Amino acid sequence: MKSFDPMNPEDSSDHHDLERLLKDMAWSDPTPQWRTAILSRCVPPIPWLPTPLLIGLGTCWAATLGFYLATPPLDPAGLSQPGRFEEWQRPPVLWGNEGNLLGYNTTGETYR
Amino acid sequence: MGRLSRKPTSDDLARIYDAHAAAMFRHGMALLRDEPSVHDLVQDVFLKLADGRVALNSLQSERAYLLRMVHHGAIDRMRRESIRRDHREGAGQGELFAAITDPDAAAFRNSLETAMAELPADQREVVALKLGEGLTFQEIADICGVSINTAASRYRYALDKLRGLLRPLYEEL
Repeated sequence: MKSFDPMNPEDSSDHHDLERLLKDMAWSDPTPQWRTAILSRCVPPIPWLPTPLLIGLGTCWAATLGFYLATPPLDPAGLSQPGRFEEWQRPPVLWGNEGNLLGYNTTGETYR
Repeated sequence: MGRLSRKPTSDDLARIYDAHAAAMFRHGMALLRDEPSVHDLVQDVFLKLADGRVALNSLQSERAYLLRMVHHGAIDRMRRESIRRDHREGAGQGELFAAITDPDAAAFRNSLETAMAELPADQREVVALKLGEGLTFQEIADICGVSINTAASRYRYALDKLRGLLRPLYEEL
């Protein structure tokens, strides 16, 4: 019994015709958009600037900028020393009425 | 061949694309028959190249290596798709052969496209590599990870089936 030899089949003449037809066919190619789409995503990273480092640096920069923008400007007038208050500007001092911490609604002399 | 001994630059990747992307596309289409999936597959291969995960400097044949990557990637995808049970043979979008304007030739082309879709993926792959890329059975065997006799058998079985499917049209030509 003769074994099947895939490299040299007996019915090769028909196969040759079919092979020729298939070879003559134009096989499809990727569209030109493929080149841009594929290569644009393949930008090689800079070896000493890996992505995690970039993310960390970006986060720090964003936080610093946020703090800078959120901080109100300093007002020099608002930083005057307590000793420079005039008499009438000083906060009330309580005498003898420990239950009245704010010194309001009192009838006697509670200020000195 | 053997020109890359470092991470490829953009120019290297562009050269590789221009030299091999069409063959990778046709090979992927022969296996997956779905253009978006083939696009993702080729994209994956190029991302691996860009990451330097593939050393092309020691290769004897860039094209054979890239086609082997396409083969393995396509097989992985087919296995995943079969697990998800949403892969339907021949249900993809995209075709193996370029469009033809001549009506007679277009009719034959459409019949051939349909007949190719009837083939098992491994046989279609061998036909595409043999007749589309002009590779030898030894090269096809290396890419597909099978023996040379298996590659040749798949090719012959594929041609037998194609001949049967195309016989009505084929005899008119």
